[in-house]
Amino acid sequence: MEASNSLKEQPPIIEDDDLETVLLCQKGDVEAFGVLVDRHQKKMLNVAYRMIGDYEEACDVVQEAFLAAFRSVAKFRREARFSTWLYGIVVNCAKNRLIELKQRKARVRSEDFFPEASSGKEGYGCGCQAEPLQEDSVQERLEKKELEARVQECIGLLDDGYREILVLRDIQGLSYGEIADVFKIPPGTVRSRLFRARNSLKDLMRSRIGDFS
Amino acid sequence: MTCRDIEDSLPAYLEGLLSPEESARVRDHLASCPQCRKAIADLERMGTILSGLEEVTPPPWLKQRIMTRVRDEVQPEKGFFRRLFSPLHLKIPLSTAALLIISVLAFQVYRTQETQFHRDGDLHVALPKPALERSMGTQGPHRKDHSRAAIPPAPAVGPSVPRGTTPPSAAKSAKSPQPGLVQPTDQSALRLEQASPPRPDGEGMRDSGKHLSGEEDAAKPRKGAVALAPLPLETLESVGSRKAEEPPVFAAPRPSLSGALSPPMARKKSGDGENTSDSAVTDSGLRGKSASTAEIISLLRQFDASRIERRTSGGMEILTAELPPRQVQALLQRLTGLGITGRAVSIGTADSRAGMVPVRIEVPANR
Repeated sequence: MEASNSLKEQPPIIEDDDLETVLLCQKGDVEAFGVLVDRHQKKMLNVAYRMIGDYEEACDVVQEAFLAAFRSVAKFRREARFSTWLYGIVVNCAKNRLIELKQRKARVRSEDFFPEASSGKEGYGCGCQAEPLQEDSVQERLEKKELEARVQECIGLLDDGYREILVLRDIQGLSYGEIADVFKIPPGTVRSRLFRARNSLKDLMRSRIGDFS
Repeated sequence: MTCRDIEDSLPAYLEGLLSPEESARVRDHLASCPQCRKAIADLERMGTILSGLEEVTPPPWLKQRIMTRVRDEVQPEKGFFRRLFSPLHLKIPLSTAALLIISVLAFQVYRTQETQFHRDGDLHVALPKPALERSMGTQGPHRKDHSRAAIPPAPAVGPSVPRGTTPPSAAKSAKSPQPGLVQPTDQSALRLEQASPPRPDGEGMRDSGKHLSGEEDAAKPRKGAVALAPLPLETLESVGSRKAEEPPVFAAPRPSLSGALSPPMARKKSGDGENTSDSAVTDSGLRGKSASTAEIISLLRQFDASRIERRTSGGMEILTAELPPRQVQALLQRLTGLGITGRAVSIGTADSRAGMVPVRIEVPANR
């Protein structure tokens, strides 16, 4: 009985490439944290961007998230991978930012504040940030850009509980277990929410894009 | 199973998470329903689009900014002061708090200075409040206190006079001590509140008594006077020349006065007027008094007391003397042995010039 209890108390052994660097951070090594930033900033930026739909806001959210992670890195107990823990922080920061943006939008009511996805402010509109696709023709590239902007728009219309799970699973490719760790919910709940999110997004894309298959 | 049910099951069907029976049912339905076939095609296409969404690249400055902020966090001193004073939401409460603290300090300093002023004046009398207020009422309009209206008028007080003389004014106004009046207004000695050990800041006096002085005294505050020291000569003189109807605020014994004591009868006639005597003539002044008072006086002498003075006020015998500081503790012990403790004994602060400690002992007159 005691043995089973002690087994329960011990955190599961998780393979984590970041572990050594995280340990250095926990000892106060600031430069080690720089390594972690280097390693994860792109994934975190993409999650934030897909959740918010605005490149600059997403960059800001990532800054906040990394800063929050640095402040609480001492509390990181290696119960999950560092990246999973970091995803949780980024998702929370992004959700908070979305609430702020909605409130600001309600006050300002300005279309310029939230330009269309193709207006140039967002990641895809900003050519210097998007990874170039040399092989596509200009026409194809424009069509793809247009479609992706509309898909992004539809993602933005998803309910909060669905959006982040869909982003983490279908865009970032996290496993159900990792998503369950991020949100601290059972994997079954992750699945059911994800399936509802997919159906919702499909309906939204049908209504806003038309026939996309 | 309706098309809606099938559609809800399609994501799980695509992931292969349905049971074989459910999968077979969905498959059968899809074979016969073009609408659901379209739905599953849309889902598959959507999955492809989502997984193929172009990734955004972080700007080159992102890591730099993150690390700058992280390094700021690591330097708490700099960050702390910057945060402490720059944002308005912190600055305003800080300013308010500082203002409050300064106000409280200023008030405290004012009160301390007021007390100090009173201490530096030549007289300090810690009278009970009613007597105090009556006395204060004679000092000027700024000392007015409406509460004194409820206080019975104090009897006129004759100034202390040399032995053998009874001032006419004092004789006229002589009355027997009023039993209800605990402390008559003509307290001519320093009344110390219980102060053992004496509080150097004069708090004890501030609490229960105020500085009282005649006009002349007020005009000439004596610097360096010991707060509870016997009264100066000028006071007696000024009081002696005061009009009879104007009750002297303070009629102090004259330490250097070596004249004869007032005869007992004269003392009686003067009622609550106080008679003082120098230590040199204490013996004659003690005639007819209780043995306990004499005992205390002899005790004082044993402890090298000087300027032993004695007077009667409000049915109380008040003995004042000056003692070398080293004898104070021993005297207190002896007095305690005699049952004279608490408010009956008051110790002042040492005179900076003579190094003597004023002592005041109060015992019932019939003791």
